[in-house]
Amino acid sequence: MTATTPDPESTSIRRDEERTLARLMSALPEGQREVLVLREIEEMDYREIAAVTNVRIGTVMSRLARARAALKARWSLESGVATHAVR
Amino acid sequence: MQCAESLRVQAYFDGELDALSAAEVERHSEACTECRALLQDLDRVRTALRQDLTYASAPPALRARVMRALDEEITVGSPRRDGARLTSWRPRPFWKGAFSGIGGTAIAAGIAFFVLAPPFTSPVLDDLVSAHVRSLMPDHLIDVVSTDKHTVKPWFAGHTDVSPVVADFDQQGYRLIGGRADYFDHQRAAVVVYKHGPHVINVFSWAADRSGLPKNTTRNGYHLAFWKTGDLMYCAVSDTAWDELLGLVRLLQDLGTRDAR
Repeated sequence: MTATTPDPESTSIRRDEERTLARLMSALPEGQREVLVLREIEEMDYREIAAVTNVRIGTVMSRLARARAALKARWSLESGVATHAVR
Repeated sequence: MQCAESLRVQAYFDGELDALSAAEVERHSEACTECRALLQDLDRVRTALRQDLTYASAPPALRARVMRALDEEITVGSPRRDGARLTSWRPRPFWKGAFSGIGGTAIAAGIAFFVLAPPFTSPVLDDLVSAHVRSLMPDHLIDVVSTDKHTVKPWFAGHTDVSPVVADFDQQGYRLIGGRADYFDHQRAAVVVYKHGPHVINVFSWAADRSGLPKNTTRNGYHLAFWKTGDLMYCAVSDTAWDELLGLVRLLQDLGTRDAR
């Protein structure tokens, strides 16, 4: 949390987004969620992900693509955020 | 509809492509509205995840698997690793989320990671594996499609800096399916492509320098076998079994020494 107090409305929207994202993430098949977390949160590269998840790089790539597409599709469907949030 | 380039666009977004392929993808995305939109979507998803899930960590089951994988690497790994290589590894937030707050484990992971670092820092191995993986993407496997060595070998003369041994070993189970030029180690390397059952075997060749012959090794499930014939360095890369890969290596080595005579 920063020192400035965010206005209550944006805080609440933000919380909703977090909940939505967390829920959508947990709805993904485990293999897809895994590569997505390792790539986006842990910032591993494909080789590292392949090494720790013990699958081929091609599998890492296809799982990532499916996870991202599924997340994006459901996310825009539920909140419209994906299509409007970008400035 | 999904553009055939979408996986390559994703690889570009993730910073996995070499400069040449990256430029190709950039050019492609200018023309392809679908891939342009894909790049935007990838960016939105990433931004959202990084903003909102920064505190998410790897699930416990995965964490356990990471630790197991690391343990295995340590026991299986070659014994000649030395501490000097540690400095060449750039600091990354590798274990940041996954291991925060588990003191002893985090230290263990640090040690494990340090032991793991040398193979990852070898640019030659990295280049070879990523070139092999790139080649498995649609339309990237072969530039010249031919099962005839008399077509493939002359093709290299105009497209690469080296002239490797080319032969069809269909009888022995290694079918020549073509050749490709690849940028590798700052030169145009020749790649001869074989098919062994369902497996693709890429045989890279480039002008050998004074550096020693790398040891045969396995990266991410891909085996890499190295050898030298005359002034050329060769590396066969595939996900086929070791003895099957080495079978092709032996055939090529025999042919190479016969040619040199």
